[in-house]
Amino acid sequence: MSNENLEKKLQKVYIEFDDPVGGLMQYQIENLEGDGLQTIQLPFDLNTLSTNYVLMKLYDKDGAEPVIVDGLEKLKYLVLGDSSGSNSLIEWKRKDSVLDSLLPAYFEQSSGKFPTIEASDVTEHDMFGYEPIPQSKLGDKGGIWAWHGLRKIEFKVDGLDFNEEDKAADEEQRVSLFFFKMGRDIIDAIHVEEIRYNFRRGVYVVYLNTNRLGEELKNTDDVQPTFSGRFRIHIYNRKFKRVYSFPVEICVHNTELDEDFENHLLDEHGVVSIDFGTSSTCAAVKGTGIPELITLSGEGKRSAKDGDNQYENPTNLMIYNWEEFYRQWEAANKSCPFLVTKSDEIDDGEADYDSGYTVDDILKDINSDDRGQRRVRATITELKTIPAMTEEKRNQVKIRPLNDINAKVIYVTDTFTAQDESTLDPIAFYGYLLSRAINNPVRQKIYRDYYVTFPVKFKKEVREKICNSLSYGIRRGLPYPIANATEDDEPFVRVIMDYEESVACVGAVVANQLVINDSSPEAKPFAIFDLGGGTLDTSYGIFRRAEGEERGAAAYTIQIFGCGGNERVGGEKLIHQLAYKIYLDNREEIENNQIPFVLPMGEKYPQGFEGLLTDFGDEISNGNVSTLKENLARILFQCADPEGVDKRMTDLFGKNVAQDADHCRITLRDKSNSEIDLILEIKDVEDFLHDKINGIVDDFKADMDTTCSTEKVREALQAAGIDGYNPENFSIFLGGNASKQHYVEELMREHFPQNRIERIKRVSTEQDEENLSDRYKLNSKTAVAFGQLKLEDYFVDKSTYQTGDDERAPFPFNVGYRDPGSGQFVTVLEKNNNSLEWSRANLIGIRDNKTNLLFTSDPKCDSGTLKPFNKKVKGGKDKKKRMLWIRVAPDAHNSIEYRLGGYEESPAADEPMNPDMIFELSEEN
Amino acid sequence: MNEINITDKDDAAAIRYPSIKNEENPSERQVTLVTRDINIPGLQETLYFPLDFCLEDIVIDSVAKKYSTGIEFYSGLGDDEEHFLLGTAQCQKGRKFLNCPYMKKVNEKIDAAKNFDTSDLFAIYLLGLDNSNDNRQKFLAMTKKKIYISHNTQAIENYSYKNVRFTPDGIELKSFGESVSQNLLDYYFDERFLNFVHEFMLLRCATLVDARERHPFANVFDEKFNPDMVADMKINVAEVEPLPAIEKRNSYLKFLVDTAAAEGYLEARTIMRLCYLAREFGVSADSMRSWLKLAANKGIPKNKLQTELTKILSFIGVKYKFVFIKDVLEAGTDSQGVFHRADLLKILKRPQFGVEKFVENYLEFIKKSRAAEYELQNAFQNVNPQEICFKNLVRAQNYSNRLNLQLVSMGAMLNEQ
Repeated sequence: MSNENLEKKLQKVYIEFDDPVGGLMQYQIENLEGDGLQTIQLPFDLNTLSTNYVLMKLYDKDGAEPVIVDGLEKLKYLVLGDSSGSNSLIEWKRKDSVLDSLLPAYFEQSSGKFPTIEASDVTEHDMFGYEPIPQSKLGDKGGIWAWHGLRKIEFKVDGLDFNEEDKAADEEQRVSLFFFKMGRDIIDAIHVEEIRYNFRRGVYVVYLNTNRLGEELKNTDDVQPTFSGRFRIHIYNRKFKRVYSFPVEICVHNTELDEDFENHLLDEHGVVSIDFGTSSTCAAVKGTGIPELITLSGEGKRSAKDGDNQYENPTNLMIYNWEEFYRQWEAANKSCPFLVTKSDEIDDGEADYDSGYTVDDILKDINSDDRGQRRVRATITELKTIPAMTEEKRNQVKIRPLNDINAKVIYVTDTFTAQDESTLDPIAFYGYLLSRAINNPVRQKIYRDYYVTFPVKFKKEVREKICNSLSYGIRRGLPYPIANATEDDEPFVRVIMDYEESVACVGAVVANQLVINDSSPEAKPFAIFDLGGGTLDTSYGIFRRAEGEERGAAAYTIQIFGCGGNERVGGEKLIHQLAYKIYLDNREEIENNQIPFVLPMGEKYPQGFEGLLTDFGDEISNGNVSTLKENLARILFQCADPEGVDKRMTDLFGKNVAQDADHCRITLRDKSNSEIDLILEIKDVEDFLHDKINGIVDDFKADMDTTCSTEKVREALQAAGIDGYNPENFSIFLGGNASKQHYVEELMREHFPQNRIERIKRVSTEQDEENLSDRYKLNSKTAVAFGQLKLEDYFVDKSTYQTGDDERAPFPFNVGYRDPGSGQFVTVLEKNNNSLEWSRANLIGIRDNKTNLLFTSDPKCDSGTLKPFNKKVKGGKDKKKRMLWIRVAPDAHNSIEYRLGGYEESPAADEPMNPDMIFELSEEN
Repeated sequence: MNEINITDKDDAAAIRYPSIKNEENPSERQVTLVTRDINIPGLQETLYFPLDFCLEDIVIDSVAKKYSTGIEFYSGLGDDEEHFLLGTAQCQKGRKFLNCPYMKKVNEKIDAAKNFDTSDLFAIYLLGLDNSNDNRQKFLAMTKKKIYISHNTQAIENYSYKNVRFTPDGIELKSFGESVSQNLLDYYFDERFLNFVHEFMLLRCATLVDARERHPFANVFDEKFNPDMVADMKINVAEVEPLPAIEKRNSYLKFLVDTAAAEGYLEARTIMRLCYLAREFGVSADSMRSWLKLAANKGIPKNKLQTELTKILSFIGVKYKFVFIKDVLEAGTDSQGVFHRADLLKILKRPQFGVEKFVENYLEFIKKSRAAEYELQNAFQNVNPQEICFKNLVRAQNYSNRLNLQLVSMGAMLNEQ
């Protein structure tokens, strides 16, 4: 091989042509070692090329000006050497010494067409399992948002003569993606910093930094310019390299607010309603169209199973890869975290987190494989209860991320600022997930207002913690300029807790199941019974035409008489109790095998079971609770066979049924964490559930009577044209997931035989609810989220039961004493009464100066429920002033304040609060 | 509400790309990025490594070094010595500074010759010394393209390399079809000169070998920092930020170049191997040039050799330790089996590297294999070139190499037991 010969070969050939579908394509082949190109490989068959524009540049020597071949005709003549070349073509070729020396044999065409490229945005696909955003929606008909962290975009290239997985030893590919045009302006090229190749999917993965694009947007007035750029693949081998270059266009929306705090992405009519529940969470958005629900589990995560409604997102969280989770989530990451959810496509090893039904599946299948237990330890459920827990209990909650070989322990906190490398605020993170799912670029809407409902019984500080955590998470999911904007010193993005869950439910029934029209114009009393996973929430009131000044706000009024409920009752708790019942019923099996378990809240320690039961539980006992709950108790609870579960055992548990169909096989763990196969007797389930739910319904009735028998309610009813309180007039609506248990409706009918009783559902005539997508479906669970959205259209009057301090939750107890004469309980402070008036109680103890009170959360003040309250009081030296006066403490809904005085000597109504004279009441102790 | 700035708007670049997970079997792998535009005329990729690199001045000079005596001694040589200048630098210097009548004559003739590219001149050989009055000094001059012979006649004859053959007793014209070759020049060349010409001819026909295997170290990719390492060492992340793979390859190759050339004993076959490695490593020709220059200037100082060696061994890890040491030993050994970088050898034999025995034995192995190669060359010397199917020979050789290595490593394990 001599140098003289080498110099006659071309160093580099460049071609560009306009593809009618794909745009301007470029190709280059370049010699890398100075000996010239042996052949010129063309990336297409010229006969497949249909284009108006094609240009070829031939570089003879490095650094020299190229010879230009323009137009398909000349190109074909050069490459194919068409013998019918016209004289002018022959002349054209002959005139140039470089062209003249090129023979058609020097060119080597590929068969087929130039490779094609297809882009799709998989950011939300990876985070939630949603459909990827197709190329057609990345251009000016859609687009992505600036200052929104990274976007993961996949480029699939078809027809490329190179395969990363099967490349020759001397082959290597390099790539680039850069943008050189914003709208019509040429800009300094912005190069994408991170591009990968995904072997499994055979695609290029581009991580696009939208913050960087946001920075560029400062230079334009266009609020949604299209960035034009090129995606290039350089394929090297030892002798030469080929470059394939494709056009890329992505529309980027500016997310800055203008001086009027407006942005084209903000939906001015848009509002989000979040029902953050103990067992499941619903988020509904209302824009200009019909309200719809948002799911955190896209179709790509798992195929739906019977009974799933993917829009009722189980409120749980599982951590796979804490290291990556924290790297993205920690506050020092000043950008939107990108975390990959587990799905059918994503292996354990590559997932960062999971949430939803896929996590429920894991809890059900604790003994599925050798990692089953580890999986359960990586999960956390009932996130909502975390702020309500005592410090001690919260410290017991641990997450052990699945992929962490060092068994790292993650603790939980209810304060997002307290997060660190081993502490997580799961509610804040859940808020982030909600925010990313709600503010999804594919919807092209950003929401500013987030209304979050709360359980009636939650303390103000607990509500605030939930609100703060959710708010932090929600804002972290938004583009920077919106997340951090303030208007009048208030955060621009608002997370508001205005309505109790049971009040929000009312929004779902009015103008739906509860109608006022010309044929039925009268006011409609109603009661909401919302039995959720963790709490029971109730509300009572009337729906009526607006009167007087109310008409300035809305045409109709929802007047709330009162809210009640019980934070110790709920579906999850009933299921736990049922599991506990099965545990107790099998004492011999349990004790022989030393199976530990967790005592349900409010239960007393039973006879026997020494060393097996604890209040908080450890991993083994919590694992057993989970196994018993998910594999037996929940299935029994949800069974709606009127014949009773006893007849259905085989259907429900299949091959696990044993011994005359009243026993069931299950694998639990003993104290030393060994798996033990047990056969447990299942008995009296129907009776048990009947009794429990009967108690709940009974309490509801009593609560309703107490709440609605007050003077104020009577006046309100009178004003609406109803003559006094008659429970039979009330339409009762059942909401909450646990209301689906068949006894709830059955027992409700037993207790209220004359009443209209309905589960919450849509009765609209326009659409067939059955055939409606779950996305729009109104049911007892989604009622809260949907209902809250509708409350805006009504005047909601809470004045009947709220006394000034409307931030305060209702007083949760009846407080009184036993009359020494009759032995009867005398109520001093009434449950749900928020009045700050002083009431006379009884005398303090003669020798010990202790109170002599009783209290209960039971609305009927059943003797069995009364708890003594004996605490030493301050003062008491004056023998004539030993009468105890009490009132609801002004700053804490579950505490009482006291003074000592004479029999008629009531403290002043405006008596300032004395923090030293306050007792907190709690049934826990 | 607690205010927290959620995105750092002042630093758009502060974004955290997801980690590559599942190190054993990752589904994603980073692709090297190219930031240069494609169709800018005149710009070449860094990978560009010209085929004729081996003919560049620095390479020829480095190879020539071991055969040439310094120019300052030249004038002192006696009449019975052979007079020649080797290497481009020495030729330029000689032409400029040697003020003897013989050289003057050479200069005159060269300057008068047509199409003589003096910048390409790399060898001048005085064919005896003409002490006659009319001084018809005969000489041989070599440029990268042509051989020039000045006989007694006025004109300088030039020949193309592909047409001539150097023999111990002169230069002959290659016979194309004729059985008897034609003698162009009868002269008993100095052996050193002949060896140099032989090496130059090798460099001249440097071509790309179609090797199926790549050098293992060419496959080292950039690694993200290894969290385990950080956890183990309990030190700052910044301190263990790994070198980019190209930096590693650069250090690796630089050390080999240094070993091969620093003592002035660079051989053509060695530099050809190193150039080949440079292509595979994606090292630019510029870097190679600068390292060769450094080596020509005594290379890495002796007191820094150990540090440099330790540094490389630490980042290449145990997987490549013996590959590297083997490469070093081979780079520093000439065709006679002599390892020339004596200081390095001393350092290598220090116990902290744990390779002293290996070095000894391996050097012995190289020596023997050089001899074996020589015999192999001889074996093929007299066969009909038409009958050699190079490809299959290579495959057979690779095959037996593989087998041999396997057997060798089994032997090594036996020793351990």
